[in-house]
Amino acid sequence: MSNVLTLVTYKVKMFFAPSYRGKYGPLPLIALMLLFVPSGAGMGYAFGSFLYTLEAGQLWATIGAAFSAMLAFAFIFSLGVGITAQPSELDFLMTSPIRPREYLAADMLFQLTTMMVTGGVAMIAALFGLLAGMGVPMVRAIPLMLVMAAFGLMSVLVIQSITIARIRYPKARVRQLTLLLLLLSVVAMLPAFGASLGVEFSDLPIPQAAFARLADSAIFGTVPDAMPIVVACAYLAAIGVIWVRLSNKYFFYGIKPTLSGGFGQVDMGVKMAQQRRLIGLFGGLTSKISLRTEVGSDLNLMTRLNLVRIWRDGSIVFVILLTGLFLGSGAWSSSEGDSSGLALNTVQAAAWPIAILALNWCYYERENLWIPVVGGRSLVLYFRGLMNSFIVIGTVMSALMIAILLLARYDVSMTSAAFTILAPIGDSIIATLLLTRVKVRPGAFSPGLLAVLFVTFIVGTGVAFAGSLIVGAVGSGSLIVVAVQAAVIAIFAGSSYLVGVKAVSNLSSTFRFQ
Amino acid sequence: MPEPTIRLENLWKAYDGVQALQGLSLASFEGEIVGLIGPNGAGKTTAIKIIVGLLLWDRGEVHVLGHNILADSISYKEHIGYMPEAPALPEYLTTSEFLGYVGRVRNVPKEQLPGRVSELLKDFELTGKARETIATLSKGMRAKLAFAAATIHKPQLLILDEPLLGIDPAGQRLLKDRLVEMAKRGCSILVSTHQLDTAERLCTKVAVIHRGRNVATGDLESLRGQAHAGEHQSLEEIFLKLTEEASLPEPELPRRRGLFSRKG
Repeated sequence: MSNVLTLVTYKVKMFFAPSYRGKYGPLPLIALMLLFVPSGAGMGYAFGSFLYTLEAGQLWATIGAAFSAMLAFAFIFSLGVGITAQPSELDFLMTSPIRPREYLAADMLFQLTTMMVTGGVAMIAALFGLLAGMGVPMVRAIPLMLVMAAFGLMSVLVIQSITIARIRYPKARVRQLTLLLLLLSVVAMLPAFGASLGVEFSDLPIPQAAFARLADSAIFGTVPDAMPIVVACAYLAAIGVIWVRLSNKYFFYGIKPTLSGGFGQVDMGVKMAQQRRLIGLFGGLTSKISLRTEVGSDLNLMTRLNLVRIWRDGSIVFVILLTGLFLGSGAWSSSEGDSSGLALNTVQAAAWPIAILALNWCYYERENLWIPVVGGRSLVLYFRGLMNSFIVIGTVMSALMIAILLLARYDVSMTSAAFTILAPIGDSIIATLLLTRVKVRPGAFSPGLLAVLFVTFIVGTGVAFAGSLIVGAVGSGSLIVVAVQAAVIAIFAGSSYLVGVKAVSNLSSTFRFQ
Repeated sequence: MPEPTIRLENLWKAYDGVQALQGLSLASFEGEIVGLIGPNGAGKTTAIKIIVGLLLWDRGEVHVLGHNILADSISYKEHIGYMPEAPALPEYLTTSEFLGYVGRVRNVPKEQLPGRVSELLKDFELTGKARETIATLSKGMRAKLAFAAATIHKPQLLILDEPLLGIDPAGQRLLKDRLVEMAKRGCSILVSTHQLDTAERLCTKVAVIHRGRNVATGDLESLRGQAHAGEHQSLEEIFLKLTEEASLPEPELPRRRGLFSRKG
């Protein structure tokens, strides 16, 4: 086990060094750690206040559901990543005489360290919030943390054991068994959401129920029954024995480099490889729409080029999923009687996809600009084409969204429609302006990345908000007013576009590729 | 004396205080295949990126096809072709779409574009891949495609950075044959390479670059003379000798005694 410390040091350094050695040192990392403290404490307090209202059986079911969710995550993780590794670890560490168990122990420590460093402070804040919400002394956090740590350890052992079994015994039905366990974990969560399955999961000898009872005792300072202690210890011991048996087996040939960079780091090489895989995957389907290069004006060609890219590299799937998610979530909250939910989610559905498309452009397309640059072409037409492609995608998605809402018999006011139409136009203009100036660095916590994501969203939304205010000021009611409002939307959209063309042309004429 | 296609004079370029080029001078002429050879970090790619307009230099003069590219940084590009080392290609385009796109960027007339694309696909044995996205191509095919794209507009000056990297022997032969054909038609070619045997056989002139300077230029005979090498020594031996000599520390000049230096 002499190599464990060396290995874990290497893994931790590889993961955190990029964020630590950035322009601002460890400050962004500390800021990120502290960023979620208030929300963690708030959520913990809200959850604690909710738990306080429950009777014992419901309380066990709810805490048990939280443990089930952790276990379900562990099963999902073990089916995918399982054991973390950087590409360099495969090349240099796994080709060294390191024993598999040493590597597993190092990975376990690495996973726990990263979890504590990135989310530990927020988690502790959430725990204190929870205890405050339940009105119990803060000192109870210590036994509660011990229970959670034991469950966390068991989860990591489960993840590693399943991963090794999957690699070493490909013919055994490890995946199927894991999927079944995953399904059972999900089912065990249902009673906490009010579903009656006729089974009291909190009475069953399953780990999440046992740990829920132990957590309950830790919170209220009572002596736990013998049964949950026996069950929890039995599961821990069983998985420990399985881990000891499996961890001696050689599994390095089945490990894939799942960590492409350090914390908060963007690895352009990996991004390109992802894009290549996506294009290869959907190639037969997506290349049915072709790019005819011998027709159309130069601006038209650049617009179509960017549309083809968005269509073929999988960005469009992401846009559709994101729009569907916000739309569905908005519709669900509206059906629960909260009309603001739909408005909020419509805003997000209109604005976020363009911000994401802009970010994808930085990853996938910026490097290809050497072609027009070396070809002696000004990039004005390229960027105008890019802006047009964003506007086309955004307005089509907005139109679809409005159509779906109308078909579902939601009341879409002209101000909402104005917002939904104008947001992607504003976003497209702002995003393109940013892309002429911002280069997303492959380092950790790139300010450019945050700028593209958030400035696009905020400023674009602001533009749309201004437009919808003007539309709202026209009034409401008669058909004539609606017609005037529609005209106002069209004029606002048109003039925004013209301003965008002017601004994008000015900035892109001085674009620097390198 | 004909006008050089490339004329670099006393070119200097530093990246974050590290000197990549330190007074590089170079000239190439019509019909020549000039090989740019040098150890890693010698400044070959930096020089090439300056010539094609992707990098701004600190000091010196750059003339390409008679244009001072600082004063006129656009119009000369119409007549140059460029293939970068490990080129970033738009993975989402099919091979024919990519060539069409580059053709448009390079001002190939629209009506000639489909014919030219088909011709290049055929020339570089990519016809079967015409409708497949670049993402599905092998490394060698991508290199051939990038080479085809660099020549789609029949440039007067072709600049290639490690063009043979990752290409199989048959593919290398194909590309080399095309280069010789183009040079015979008057095209000037600048090719950066680490493959010295290829440079020896393919290039009409070789420039040996080391630490951002040109340590020797000329045909093989002339390089032998400059390196004081025997007549049977290969380019590899000459290259090693020249770069080794250039690596030697310069003799320390006798220090001038300061006015207030201590005695003893």
